[in-house]
Amino acid sequence: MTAAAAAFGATDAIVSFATGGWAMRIPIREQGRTVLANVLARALAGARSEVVELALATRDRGVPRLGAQVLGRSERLSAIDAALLDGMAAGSVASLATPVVCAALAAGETANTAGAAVLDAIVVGCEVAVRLAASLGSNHVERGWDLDGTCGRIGAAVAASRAFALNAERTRNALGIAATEAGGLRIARGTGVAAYVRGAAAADGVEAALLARFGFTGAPHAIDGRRGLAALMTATFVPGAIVDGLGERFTFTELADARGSEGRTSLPAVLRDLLDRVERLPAIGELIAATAG
Amino acid sequence: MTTTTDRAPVTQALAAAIAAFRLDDLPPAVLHEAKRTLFNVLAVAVGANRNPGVDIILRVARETGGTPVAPIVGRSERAAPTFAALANGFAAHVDDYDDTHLLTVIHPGASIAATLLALAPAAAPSGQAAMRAFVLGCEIQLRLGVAISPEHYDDGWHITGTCGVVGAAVAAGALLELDAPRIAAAIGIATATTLGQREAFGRMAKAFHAGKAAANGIAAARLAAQGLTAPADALEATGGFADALATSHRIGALDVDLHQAFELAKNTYKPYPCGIVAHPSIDAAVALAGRIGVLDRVAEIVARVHPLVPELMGNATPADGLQARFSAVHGIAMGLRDGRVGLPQYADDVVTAADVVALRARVRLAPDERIARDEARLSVRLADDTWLEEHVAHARGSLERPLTDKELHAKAEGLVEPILPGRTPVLRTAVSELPAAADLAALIAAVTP
Repeated sequence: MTAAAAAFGATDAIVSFATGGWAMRIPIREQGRTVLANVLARALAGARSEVVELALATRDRGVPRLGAQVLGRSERLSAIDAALLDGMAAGSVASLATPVVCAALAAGETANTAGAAVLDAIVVGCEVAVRLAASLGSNHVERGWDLDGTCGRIGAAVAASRAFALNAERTRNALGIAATEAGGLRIARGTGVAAYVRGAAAADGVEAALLARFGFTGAPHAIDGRRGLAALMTATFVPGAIVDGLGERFTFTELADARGSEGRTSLPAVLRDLLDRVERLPAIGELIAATAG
Repeated sequence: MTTTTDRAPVTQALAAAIAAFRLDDLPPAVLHEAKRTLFNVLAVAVGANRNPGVDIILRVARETGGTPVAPIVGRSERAAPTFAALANGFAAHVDDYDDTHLLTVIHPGASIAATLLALAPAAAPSGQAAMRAFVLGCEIQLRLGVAISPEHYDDGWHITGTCGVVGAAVAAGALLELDAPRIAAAIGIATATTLGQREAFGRMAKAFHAGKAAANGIAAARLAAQGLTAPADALEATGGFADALATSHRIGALDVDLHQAFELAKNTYKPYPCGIVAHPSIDAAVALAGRIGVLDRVAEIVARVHPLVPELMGNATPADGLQARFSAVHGIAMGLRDGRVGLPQYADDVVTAADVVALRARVRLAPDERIARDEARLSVRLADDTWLEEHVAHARGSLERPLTDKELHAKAEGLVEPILPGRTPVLRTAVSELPAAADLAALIAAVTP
């Protein structure tokens, strides 16, 4: 652990980063756009998959006030359920970006968040998820945990909190609520549950942020507390992997690099155009509406 | 999917036993304990119905929509099933007054009662089916808990959440009349959404574990009903439920016979609304209250307790009622001051009152390996240096000294009557006659305005 980490804990660092006014450098924004394009492409490809159809049949269809559209479909559900279905649609492969992006989009649409702020939320959520995964180390995965359900869930809560523009105290509570829900097992890979792990992580991220938005409280040191996520879920926690250079050096770009620009090129022209200027959209809902099928 | 050849196929065997289980086969004593569990937990939920956390959950429910069909205990509004599960499970657990299976420290009633109420409109079960689902949901989470105890809780997990998700999936699966393969799938899906870290203790997120366990269990059963595929050996697989959640466990030895030896028969009910390990020392304080007279005479209070008491209930300076539930010294101080300890002793303004703060400061916890978990020795030194002593060998509400039906009724009265006057006997009758009831109407009517 570095001196900085000792003085300033991992949970503190995440909250500070998630609510900070750091400047988005253009290369980082471009990586965020690539991540968004990749998840969007997967969600659209999977929008009519079997797991999405059967999950939709289990959802409440009452008309929601804080609703969001399911990506690539016409249905509007609660933001929580929209994130669930989007995450399952995009959840055919493992990616920490899936819960983060799906939570950011559903929360952003429901809160009428501008495109630039949603892009920020995606960058913040992905960065937290990737750093948390690195900090938990090999033992976390060896125990059976699925990173998308553990770290992805945290990233989703952070992204949704940012999309809702929650303050530091509420973001900390959202983080606490999501952290205590960290879960999902790698043994589910190869079954329908794998997609559910990713969708539930996205949905719980939105739900945690909504609860925190209205005053619900979670553990203040949920990541590095004595009985918190790291203590319970790994024997190889390295807090410096979260704290060191957070907000200065971005590591989430590995998520973008893995698939390059293939996501963008698979999208229809109208979506490519909206993606190219997403940071100038007054509301992210414009992008989401254009996916309707 | 990981397949494991050296571990018993617990998931499938359990699902088969669940599907074959008949309420008529349940020993009468276990059925009676199930009724006590349901009666107690619903009364506790009524008592907590004005908690701010319930308000927040219902606010999110209103904002995010859903069809408000499921009842909220103690309230006239209804909510979509997911949020009803969250709200009712939260209310049942937030006052730390619900039932406890002492071996595992699981509070099985909260998540399963919440599952029942949330699915009541959609599943429309008979009373018999509802009681069967309640028994199964409680029993399966307890047996899972036994298989991973004590390591799982000691590692820092809130076992009410982690095992509660699977129990709720079983209860929901029973209500939805799933066959054995789909019950197995529901269990497998539920293992993807376990939750509950003890870091959340003292915050709203702790009671959220019980509510969310219900919501996740319902989701798992519904997904299974629709045909979502799941690992067939989710509980026992290498890297499965037990491996991930406990540093060591005995999942392969889990008893899948649902004809005898029910863990639910060992469920207990808290006489005090706080962490259970502090109960023997509160018993001692209540017993001493009458012998002390004027509190100003008390110079020092020494509580010799099991080492888990400071570990779990070590908050010496609670700032509100929620924190006081994890403060053994608060419970002891209130027992000495008031001669009784109930919800009023955990009101925020009582917790911060100057005389209470001063009295708490005079209480010292002395952990002692030789003291059993349901035992305590309380010593009070008076201003004239005389000592008063009280030894509690077994706490009230422990297995050795269970609350009688009459004591349980009195506890329920204290919770229900201020919110829903006259309803305690109505609720008791509705629970007692549930297996013969056509539906859940009488039960729901008993706990809603």
